[in-house]
Amino acid sequence: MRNKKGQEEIVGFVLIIIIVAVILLIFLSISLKSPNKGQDSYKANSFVQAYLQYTTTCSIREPEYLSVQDLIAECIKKETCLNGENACDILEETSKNILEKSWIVEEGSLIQGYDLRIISNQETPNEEEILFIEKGNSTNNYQGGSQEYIKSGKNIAIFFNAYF
Amino acid sequence: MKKAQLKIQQMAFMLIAIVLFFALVSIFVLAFRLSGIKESATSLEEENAMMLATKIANSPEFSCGKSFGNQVDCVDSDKVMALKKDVSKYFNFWGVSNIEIRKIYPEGDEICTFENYPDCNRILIGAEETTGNYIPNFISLCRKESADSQTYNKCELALIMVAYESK
Repeated sequence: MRNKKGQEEIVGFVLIIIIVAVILLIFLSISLKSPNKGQDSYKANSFVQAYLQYTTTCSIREPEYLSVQDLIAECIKKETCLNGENACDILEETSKNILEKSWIVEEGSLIQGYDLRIISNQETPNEEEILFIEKGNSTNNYQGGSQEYIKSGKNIAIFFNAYF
Repeated sequence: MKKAQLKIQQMAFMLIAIVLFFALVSIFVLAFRLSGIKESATSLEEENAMMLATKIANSPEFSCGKSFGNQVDCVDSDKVMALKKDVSKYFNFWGVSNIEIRKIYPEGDEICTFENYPDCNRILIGAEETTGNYIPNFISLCRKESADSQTYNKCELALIMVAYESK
């Protein structure tokens, strides 16, 4: 009888440990899931702003050279620059060079990858992807920046994500 | 020993075991929570450092104002070069130890002087090297260029590094 009672107490103690362990596991799984989400980042947003203001080598009217922001609008209109180059080609080359110098993706670096997407007339039947550049791997831990503006009657949206 | 005493001893051991178990669990949970607080404190400090950089970039001594259109995070490099001459009185005002503006595209390593400007890449204000804690942030570095007796805006991509003393 005494032995049986002792066994019952041990079972009770084990039950408490199991319940606490289950609660701990639930708490751990919730805590580990939440932080690695993407978020709007101050740095990524500053990058998008500075990128849009960069003066390119494309000129439509001498002596003014277009900023990336204006060049995107010219690219949508399929314009050619005064130096004979296509506006879209200059946009792609400039964007690739800027991204490579600004976000260095290599073995051992903090940044695992990035992507840049430029879309016109987002969420309308006339939605068109103007440019998409990506490098490296995309992970769940990322920081993003975006900017929308209207130029020549077109709604233009830029989305940039850096993956860590 | 009497049966009642044995029971009390058994209960005491059980209570000690339960208290120890919960104490261990609490220590584990606390350690986990504290590591999260440390992480968020670090990211908050980083964000503050970046905001300090942006605040300085948008101050009248640095910012483009409206002379380059309505641009944000835009630094007028001509103003910054003029500021280099008499910068000592500003450092106490801003509470920073030194400031560096480094062009990243087109990239290079040449330090700007009054002789080689604008064909250079690093504008140092204060010390010769950026020391102390700093978090770089992206800015647009603009200046007025001229061609065929007409002026136009030239903006390049740069990083601003504002070094501050850790609290």
